Amino acid sequence: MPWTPACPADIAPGECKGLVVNGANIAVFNIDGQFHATSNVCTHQFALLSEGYVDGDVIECPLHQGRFNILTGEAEGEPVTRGIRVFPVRVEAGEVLVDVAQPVD
Amino acid sequence: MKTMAIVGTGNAGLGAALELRRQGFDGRVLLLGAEPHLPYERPPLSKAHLASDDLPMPQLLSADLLAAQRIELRPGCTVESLDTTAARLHLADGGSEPYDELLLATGGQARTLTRIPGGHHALTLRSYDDALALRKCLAVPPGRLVVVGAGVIGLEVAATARGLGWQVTVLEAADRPMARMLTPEVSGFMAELHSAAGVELRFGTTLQALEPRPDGRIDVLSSTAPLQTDLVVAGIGMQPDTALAAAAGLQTTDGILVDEFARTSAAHVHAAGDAASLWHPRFNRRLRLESWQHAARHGAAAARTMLGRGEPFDEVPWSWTDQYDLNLQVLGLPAEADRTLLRGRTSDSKFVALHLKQRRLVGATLVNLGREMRPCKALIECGAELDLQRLADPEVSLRAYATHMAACA
Repeated sequence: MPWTPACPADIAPGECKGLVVNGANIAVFNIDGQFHATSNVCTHQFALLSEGYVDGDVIECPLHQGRFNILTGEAEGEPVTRGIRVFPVRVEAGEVLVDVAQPVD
Repeated sequence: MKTMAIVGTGNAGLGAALELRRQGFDGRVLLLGAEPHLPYERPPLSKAHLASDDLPMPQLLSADLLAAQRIELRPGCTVESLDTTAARLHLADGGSEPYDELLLATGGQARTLTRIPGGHHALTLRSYDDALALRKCLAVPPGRLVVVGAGVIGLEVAATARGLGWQVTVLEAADRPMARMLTPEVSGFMAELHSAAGVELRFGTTLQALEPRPDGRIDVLSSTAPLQTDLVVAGIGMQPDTALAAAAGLQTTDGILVDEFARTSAAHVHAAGDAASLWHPRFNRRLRLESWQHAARHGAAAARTMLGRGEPFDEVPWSWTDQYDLNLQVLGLPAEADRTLLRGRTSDSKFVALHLKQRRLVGATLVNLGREMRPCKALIECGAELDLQRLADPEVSLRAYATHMAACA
């Protein structure tokens, strides 16, 4: 059951979308045609990363420019030190499915 | 073994220490700080830390990570004097330390109301200890707070105190808030924000005296109506700490003078962060910048110079402030502009003010639109004349336009 429909797979390359899946804030990204999903909340201070700036495979938080790797969730330098969660994603029939079985922040 | 000595454990000093290691420097990194604490973040001190007793000190780095980086941190260590001939620091505890290269990242102190009778009754906010003291005063049933100065710190304190239920009055000598940082239209927006939150703002008001009353409250006398208050906070800027540099014969003005490589007038001595007045090649003028990002980046740039790998430091200045639910970011030098274009509406609390000088972007102010920071930065960096019609067109994305301009450059 872990695969949950998140949104239509109509996000343009280099763009992202914020949504709530099973009560969790999730950001879905299209990086060079591949879809990825992460937690949508910055680990520094509350902010939705989907409001931020996608720079290659990095998402930059809109508040204080904390940077996270979208593929691995790793924090990429100050002011953020803790990474974000990443979730498995697959696309079926034009729909992005996300596996949020694990509890998320 | 070479010794790189750094005086100051703020973001500039620590930024330099970490960069030395990142660059592969294997010698001794000595980090001397007068404060008794591990390096900590200042931004939360005027916000979350004034609103709660439950937050740990906002450390920049744990003791473990410092040790892993082999950074020899000495908190509570005051440097008494600097001998540039002998390349040696003399410490208040009687000891001394030699250096091969030295960085002065001494920051500064909050300005105080020394010229105002009773001015010492006002609290100031710069250090972690200042924040603890102010938090103690705010952690009581809310009363009235008078903030002197409508700069960033004054307004952040006002917003935080308002959130705790305090009645807040801000006295400002200028005719608008954050006047050093913002253009008049954005100042006006910030004034409305605070008024709507219930803060009383009095512009064109000069403080005359603070007089303690027998009941423990304070009479605030100014060029406008007198006030009785429980607490006064002065947010009237900072004074760069240049004493050590000046006593050693280094050139100082409003800050320790450095070139675009962060070099002072003395060989092997560098300065970075709040304390440094730097030559900025992009804007072709001297700047002394007081921001979190600048401190870390300038400190790192100085570290590279110390290793003989310096490059001119020409980063676009960037700073932010969080007040209530608002995030405001300032890029570049809005005050240099001869015209300002607004994208978006101030009434939506979501807009970008583009500050242009002779059709070139020299600054941008972003309200709740942090994602536009990178495109604006790129447009400032490209330095080209811009198409004002496209720039103002909400249908043209700043990101696409910045990419287009970068491709033309």
